[in-house]
Amino acid sequence: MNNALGDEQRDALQELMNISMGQAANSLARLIEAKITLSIPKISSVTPSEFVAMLSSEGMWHTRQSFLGSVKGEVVSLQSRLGCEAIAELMEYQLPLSDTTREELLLELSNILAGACLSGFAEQLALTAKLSMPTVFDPEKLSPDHYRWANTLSMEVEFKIESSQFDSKIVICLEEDSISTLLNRLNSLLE
Amino acid sequence: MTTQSVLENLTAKLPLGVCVLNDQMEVLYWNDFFADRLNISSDDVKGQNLLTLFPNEAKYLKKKINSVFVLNNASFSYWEHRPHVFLFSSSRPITGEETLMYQNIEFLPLDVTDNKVKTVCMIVQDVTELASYYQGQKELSEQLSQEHNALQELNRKLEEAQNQLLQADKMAAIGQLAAGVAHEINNPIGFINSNLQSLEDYAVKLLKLVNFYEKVVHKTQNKTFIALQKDMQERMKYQFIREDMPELVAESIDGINRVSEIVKSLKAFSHVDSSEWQYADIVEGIESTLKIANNELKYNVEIHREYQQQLPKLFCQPMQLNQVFLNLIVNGAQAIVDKGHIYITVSATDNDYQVAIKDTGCGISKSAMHKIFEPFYTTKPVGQGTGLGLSLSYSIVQKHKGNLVVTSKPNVGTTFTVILPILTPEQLLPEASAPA
Amino acid sequence: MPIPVTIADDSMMSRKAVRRALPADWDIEITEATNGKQALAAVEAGKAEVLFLDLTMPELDGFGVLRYLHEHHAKTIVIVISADIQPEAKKLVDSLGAFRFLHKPLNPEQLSQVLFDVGLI
Repeated sequence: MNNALGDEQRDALQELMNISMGQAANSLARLIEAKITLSIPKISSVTPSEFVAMLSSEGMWHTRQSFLGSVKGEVVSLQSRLGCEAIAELMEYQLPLSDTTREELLLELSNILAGACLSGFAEQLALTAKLSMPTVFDPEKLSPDHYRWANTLSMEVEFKIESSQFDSKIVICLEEDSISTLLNRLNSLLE
Repeated sequence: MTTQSVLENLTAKLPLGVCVLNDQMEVLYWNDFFADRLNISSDDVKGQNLLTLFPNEAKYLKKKINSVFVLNNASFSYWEHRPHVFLFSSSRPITGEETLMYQNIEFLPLDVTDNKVKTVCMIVQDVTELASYYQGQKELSEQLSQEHNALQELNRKLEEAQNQLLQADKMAAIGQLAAGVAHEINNPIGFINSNLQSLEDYAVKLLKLVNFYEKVVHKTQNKTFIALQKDMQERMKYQFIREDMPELVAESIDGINRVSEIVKSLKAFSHVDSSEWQYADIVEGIESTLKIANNELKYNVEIHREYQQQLPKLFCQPMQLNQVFLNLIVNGAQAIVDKGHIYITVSATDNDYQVAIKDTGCGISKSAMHKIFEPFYTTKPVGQGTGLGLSLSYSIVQKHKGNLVVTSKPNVGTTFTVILPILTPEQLLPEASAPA
Repeated sequence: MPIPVTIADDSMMSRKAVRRALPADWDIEITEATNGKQALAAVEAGKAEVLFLDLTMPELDGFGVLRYLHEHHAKTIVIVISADIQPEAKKLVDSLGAFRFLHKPLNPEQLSQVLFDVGLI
């Protein structure tokens, strides 16, 4: 099975992600009543060391959340420390944030964004994927040597809330076995 | 059994709380987990509003459940953030230390048609055991890290103390050496001094004698003798010797006097533990201290003295106070980077003495201000300060029931003021009788 | 005579989706544009009596195209098909004179309804 992406497939994945993130942004925008700026989705095949490098960005908090269904994988979110309080206010959290409430906010935000991104994506491809509870994690403890996979398909989208300088990245990573499932669906959609 | 009854049986026995709600927050179903705890059966609860059933957490539940209806996306509640959304009692009523159940809750969209959520399912998981385990671990690791920090701090202090002790040891050894040397030099200085005095006396006499012989030779009017005498005097450069010798001797006497002064002061200061109480002239003490400190001062510091006239003598430990003055003057001099001034003002009222030592040095930063009297606090490079000077000075002044006050402005200078109350021996030393 | 129609979207898949959603018996001549500049060129060349317009595109985005058309070619019938479905985006699109604002993924029935409303079919 060839897991490499052709131009046509990449275009399709990008557009599908574009639509999913549009839905995710709309979900969040309705909740916090602020305009959200969307980026162009990045679709790439990454190795473990590329994956670790992708996550090691300063000034961000990280959460992860796995999903199971006809495709499997994990969603990792990166959320900027800057602007966190402003979002908290929009989401009716009590300020100033304690460590606990901040964590609660991060998990809630990542759950909303990841949930909307993934469900939009899965729906368009007639796939199923149920998200589990998100948890906070520290990517500094990741080591590429420990991974049992060689490649993952990563789909990265970025949400910015310019009014409060907040920045959030959602990275959907597919397990190797699921990539072929995805490609099959994609090909039938493109026929 | 039909699938339906299997499912009913299953949900009833699940170790999870399951509750299904419509968008009016009305309970459509809940399993035994809820029914047993609230004593309301699934049939009886149908149609009741969740928020009225749980008024305490109504606000939070409403927010969570609403977001599922609006966003068509699952939502979660964690025991770490919200330990007891439902105030259920602990699942370990006998052996557990916890009184309330720790819970994780999932809020899931259940029936969805056309992207509209019709019902939401709430799943409550009892995680008391897990939570108390994690909390135990967390406490343990916090305790460990605290102990680790304490140990590190202790280690650091020990290292510091060791350095200070080495430094203090070195200073003490230098003090002893100085005392020993002073003692040894004192003897030769004594005889050099008295020999020089005799030499001066002899020189005067010898010159008189030569004078006399000159006159006698002239009286003979013997031209040969006179010529011989003149020739000899010229060869010996007698005129020069006659002028230079008294000067040489006088200079030497002056020099040896200065040496003996220094030795005297050195001796006085090497008696660090000399703590005799007596009436003493404070200005005299300051002057002798300045002599000692001269080495530190002469190149870049100009000393300005302002002493009040007719100061009374003070009952004190003069050697100890000199130590204080020395510390303050040397500190002041070291605070002066390039060139600067030290102003020493001594004044007294009926009640107390005030000795102010003001420098035009670099000043003391706000952060260092509260630490300067702490033992071993120093800003000087290793080897230059023990960090004991000011703390020692402070304790000496306190022994005199006095006060040591500091005011400082960075880059302008620092003033240390020693305030010494004028007290009688009885007041200062109530337990001991006053010395004679 | 066939009606000149332009589909402007940087994604090939989306352009395909629009083509597929158009009624089979509608007599049209389709031009495709992959960015805003190409879309404007098509309008200038008279190839876009109806313009299906994406918002997020390179070179010149959909808002830029709308702004230009709003001032120069008010007659062009613009139907925005966008992944960005936030209320803010819709408000802006409406104020720039777009005829309709459709969400991606495109629903063919909805599109037919819109074409019917405009009187194109």
